[in-house]
Amino acid sequence: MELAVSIAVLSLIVLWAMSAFGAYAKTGQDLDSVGQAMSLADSTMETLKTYSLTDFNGTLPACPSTNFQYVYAVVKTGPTNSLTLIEVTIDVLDKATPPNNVYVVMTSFLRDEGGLNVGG
Amino acid sequence: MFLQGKRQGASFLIMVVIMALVMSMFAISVSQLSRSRSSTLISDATEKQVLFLAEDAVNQMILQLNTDSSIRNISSPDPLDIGANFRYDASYIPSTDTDPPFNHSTSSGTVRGTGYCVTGTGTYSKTVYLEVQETGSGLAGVKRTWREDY
Repeated sequence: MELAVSIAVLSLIVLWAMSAFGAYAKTGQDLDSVGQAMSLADSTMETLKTYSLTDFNGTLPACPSTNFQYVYAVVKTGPTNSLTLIEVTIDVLDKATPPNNVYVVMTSFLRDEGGLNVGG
Repeated sequence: MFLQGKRQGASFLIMVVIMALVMSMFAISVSQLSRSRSSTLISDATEKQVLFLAEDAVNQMILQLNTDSSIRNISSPDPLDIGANFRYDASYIPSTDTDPPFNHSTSSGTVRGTGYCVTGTGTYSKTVYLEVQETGSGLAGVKRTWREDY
C-alpha cells in the first residue's frame, strides 16, 4: 500500500518536473524566434536608413532568413517644404505558421531635398 | 523479519521524499529560469519597438512644424497599425522657452518624441530629444545631440 502511494506521488512529481521542463523548452523556442525576428528587422531598418528617396520606390530588402518573411507597409508624406517622411512598418511572419506575426516594428525616415536623413 | 521489512519501507519512503524534494526544486528553478528569460527578451523587443516609435514621433513633429509651425504637439492615431497597445506623442520646445534641453545659442529649439507601450504590468516609454535648427524653408532636424530617457 505504502509502496503504491509512494510510487504514485513520485510519478506525479516526475510528471510535473517534465511538464515544467517541456514548457521551458517551448518558451525557449518561442523566444529564440522572437529574438531572431527582432534582430532581422532591426538590421533591415538600419539598412533602410541608408536608402535614398528613390530607393524606396524599388524592391525593399527581402528577409535573409528562410524561416521568416517580411511584409512591408511604406507610407510617404510630402515633400512639404523640401522634407519627405517615409514611414516604414516591418511585420516579421513565421513561415511555418502563417500568418503568425512574430515581431512588428514601425519607424520613419525624414529626408531633405538632397536625400539626406535629417530626422531622428 | 518484520522489523527488517519496516526498516526497508522507511528507507524507501525517505528516498521517495528526497527524490520528491530534488525534482520539485528542479521544476521550480526551471519555471523561474523560463519566466526570467521570457521577461528579458520581451523587454528587449518592446524597448526596440518603443525607441523606433519615439524616433517616428520626432520625425512626424518636424514635418508638422515644416507644414504649420503653430502646431507644437502631435499624437499618434488611435489605434496604431502595429497594435492598440502602442502609441506616441511629440512636442516642440522653442529655445526661447525656459529650460530647453539644448543650448539657446546653438539651436532654434528642441523636438521631443516619446514612444509608449502599454503592457499588463504598466506603461513602458522611451523619449528622444532632437535639436532642431531653423532654415530658410522651415524647421529641419539637425542631428547634433540626442538623449534618451527611460
